[in-house]
Amino acid sequence: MSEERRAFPPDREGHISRSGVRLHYEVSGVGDPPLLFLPAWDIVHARTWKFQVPYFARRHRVVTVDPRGNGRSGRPTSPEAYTEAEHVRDAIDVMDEAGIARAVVVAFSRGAWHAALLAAQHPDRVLGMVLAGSSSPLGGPSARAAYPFDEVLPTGESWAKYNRHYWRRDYRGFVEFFISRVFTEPHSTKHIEDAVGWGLETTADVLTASEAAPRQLARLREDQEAARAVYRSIRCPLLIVHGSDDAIVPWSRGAAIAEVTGAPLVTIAGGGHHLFAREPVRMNLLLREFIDRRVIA
Amino acid sequence: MRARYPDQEGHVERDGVRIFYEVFGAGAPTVLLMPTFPIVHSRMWKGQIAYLAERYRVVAFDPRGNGRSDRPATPEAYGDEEVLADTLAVMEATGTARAVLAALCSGVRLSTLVAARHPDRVLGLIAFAPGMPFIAPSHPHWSRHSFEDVLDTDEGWAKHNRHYMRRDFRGYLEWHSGWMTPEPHSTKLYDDLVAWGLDTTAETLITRLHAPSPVATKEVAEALCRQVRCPVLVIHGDRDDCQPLARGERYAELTGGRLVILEGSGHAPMGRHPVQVNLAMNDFIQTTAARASERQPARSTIWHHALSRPRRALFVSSSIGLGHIQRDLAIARELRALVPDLQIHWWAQHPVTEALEAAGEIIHPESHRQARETAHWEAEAEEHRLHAFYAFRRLDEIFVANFMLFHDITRDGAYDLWIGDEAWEVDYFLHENPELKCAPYVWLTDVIGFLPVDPEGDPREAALCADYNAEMIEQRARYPRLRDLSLYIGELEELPDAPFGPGLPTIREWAQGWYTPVGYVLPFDPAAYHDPAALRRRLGYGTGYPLLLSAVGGTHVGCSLLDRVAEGYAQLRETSPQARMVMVTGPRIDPATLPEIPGLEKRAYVHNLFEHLACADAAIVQGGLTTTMELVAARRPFAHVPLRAHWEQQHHVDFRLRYYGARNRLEYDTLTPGRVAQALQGLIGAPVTYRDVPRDGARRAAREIARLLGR
Repeated sequence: MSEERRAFPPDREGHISRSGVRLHYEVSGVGDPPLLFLPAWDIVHARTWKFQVPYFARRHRVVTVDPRGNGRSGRPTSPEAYTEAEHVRDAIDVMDEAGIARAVVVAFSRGAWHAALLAAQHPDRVLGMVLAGSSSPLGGPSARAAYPFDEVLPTGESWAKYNRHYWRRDYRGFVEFFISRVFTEPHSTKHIEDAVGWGLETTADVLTASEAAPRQLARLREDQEAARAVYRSIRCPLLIVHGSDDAIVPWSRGAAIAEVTGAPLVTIAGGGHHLFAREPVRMNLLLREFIDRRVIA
Repeated sequence: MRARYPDQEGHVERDGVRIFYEVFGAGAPTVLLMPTFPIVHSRMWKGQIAYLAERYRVVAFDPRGNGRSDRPATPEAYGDEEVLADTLAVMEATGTARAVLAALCSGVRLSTLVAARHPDRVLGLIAFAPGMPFIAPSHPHWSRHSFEDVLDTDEGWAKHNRHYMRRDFRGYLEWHSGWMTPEPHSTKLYDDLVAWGLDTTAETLITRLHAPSPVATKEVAEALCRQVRCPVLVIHGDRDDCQPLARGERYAELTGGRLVILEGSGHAPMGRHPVQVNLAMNDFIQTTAARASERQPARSTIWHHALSRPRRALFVSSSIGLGHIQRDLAIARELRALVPDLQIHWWAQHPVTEALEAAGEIIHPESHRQARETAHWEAEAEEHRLHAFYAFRRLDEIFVANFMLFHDITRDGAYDLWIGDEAWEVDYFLHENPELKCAPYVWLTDVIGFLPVDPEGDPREAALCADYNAEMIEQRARYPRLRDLSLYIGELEELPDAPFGPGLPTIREWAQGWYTPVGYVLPFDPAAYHDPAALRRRLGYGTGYPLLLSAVGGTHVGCSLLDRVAEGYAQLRETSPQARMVMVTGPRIDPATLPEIPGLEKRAYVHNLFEHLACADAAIVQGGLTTTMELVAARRPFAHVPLRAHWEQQHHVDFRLRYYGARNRLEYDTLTPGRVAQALQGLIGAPVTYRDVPRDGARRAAREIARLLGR
């Protein structure tokens, strides 16, 4: 299948390499402030921002990055390659490479957790941040926690598919199931096809490595005060968006981030996990308003 | 009537000169509305105050030389340094540490001084037509004639001359107000500007024109602008004959501000384009305040996916009396029958909201924030006289305030349909700001066109009516898409065939092209009331005596008519002692203020007034449409007394009643108690030959409306 025609082809693309892992990025448009769209979990890649790039590239320099593990980035298979620290470093290195001192950072899902760490650890690099469907150590439990990842399970139904053994057995089945939970809104066939396609551009081994990475997020779930401290150290303007029916990351996580940071929370009633894809117009307008009113006002 | 009255007012006094200020609202930040050249005063902001005070704290003060501030006699007393000190004193007195300043013309020069010298006090500056001298050349017409010398002409710009100002101050103000408002259809703003000018004197303005200013060279002016550190918004019309647009452009450049050019606008955009100006001001204040952390953005909002939204209509029921609400409810009932899943929210004011509550309807929670139209009408009324057109025209401030609220509650697209029953402010300002329409919109009316009530005695009234009609005709022609439906309550034959004005089409001919007639809308089926005796028993009146009824609608304007009818009834009792009268005073007239007469029952409110009308043997009522048409539908003999000077009652309702065969019109001027008694005597039991009133008006209206919802 040939790649879809892009509404706004990149002006420039390039890659950086760190510890032998290559990261591919694209730069589109000109204008300040620059926008950095962070990658999410590597089940998808930078094309997941396809509804944002053309709109924002008309007025901003827009940078997208393929995550380690998918797209045109490298696919390391050791869990250590997928820690939060690596992801934060990737973002900083890409900004440096693209000559961007400070950017508005936009992220969703697991990328939103990386973004929170980025803003907390590098406050001088982040002008503002919009986080949707944020993974977070705060808030209520997610559905996938119902089954252990490493154990062999007697069932492969539903969230039992979120399991390393199942992935080896039926990777496509997992991707299709997972993406169907990303887009729970009716009439989402194209979004699902896109995302399943991106998921199949990587492999069970890669996803297993990134899932098995030693992650701060898991530790902070046991230490809520430390988790809150991460968010409290964010000093840039912040907007939280979350779908009320997000089946991947429950709404209570977005609400908890808004609560602890005092940031405004926009709830998309009936919305699922990937709002930037499923409600592109609303999300683009929210992001634009955020930039105009709270970053460059 | 104002749209909003101050929560606090007071004055500061400096060197014996008193400066009057007002404070509105309690939000943050404070918006300080600055004075300008004292040819106007703080009422120049009347289109902004109600809207801004809904969300911010607003402080306005009158300039030295006009309004309720003093009028010192020396030029020095009007110097920039004095006004600067006034500004700081008003901020001090009102406890305003920091504010967003908004100013016009020379007020911008003053505000620039404040911002440059006291950067910690100014969060942002909104500069209308910046009167910052030297930064760009003035219009050449200002230097064409000497201000000081005696001239041999006072044509055109030669009027800007101290001798002419003294000789004919009103002429000066009319000329000044004329070029300030080059936009067509600006009569009301023009009248306001002249009136504000007349609040001061030529001598005061001449003194002010000699006041010293530190901004005496180009270098000083530019340096001052460059010192402004706060965000700046410049709003400038390209037809501004006072300050050339180039000055606004240069001012924006020097201050690093953003420039909004209003094409076609003159020197008073806040008065002539209040909706655009208010939205631009609000946008600027919001972002400025958020940046200064004076105000947090809303904590939590919800957006609903399109397919999960309930189907919802907003019904705007105009608040002129209680007349329209029963027909609006009838249309709503029929509409729900055709679109069962439709939720209707009502946008209405007291006393209409009482009828809505009684009917169990949903009133929009923000509805009560509207500025009160009813109070305005009552304030305008005299003894059985209401110059409805002039009163309508003076609703301008209330209309802007209420349209802004309407815009606030509709901008998020929560409605699938807007229905406006004579929602004049919605209709007018949508046509003025067509980009704000975001739902199908149905306009309903029973009156089309303003007709003068005294064309011979008051030619100005005739000219203004024609101008209002012409503007409406132009608006419709230019933006047909604004209304998805224009429904006329009646048949077109019920419209007077009079011209809209000189050179304009006739009302009926024009309406044929622009309206869909749905027939008169009755809130009840007259067939159900063909047995008056049974009805009288049900309502507890009993039978065997003449039952008379008098009613005057929902406002207190009819009070004097009720008085006179009561006296007439007292006379009638001398010849017909068995006749009884029920007088329905409405929610706004206290029955206790009317005379006590045996046989006269005074009731503030009756449920379903039309049932009482339907069993009366005779009635005498004000000339309002609803009550008279209910009497026609119930086939009862009645006389109506149109309000004096009320264009609708004098022309439209009267024409329609004659069309239906109801011709007993009485004139209040000659209505003695004896005439009342005589009229009632003649009406009791008199046969009627009315045309039938259609019974399906509400259904016809609902069918047209339902089509917009795909039904």
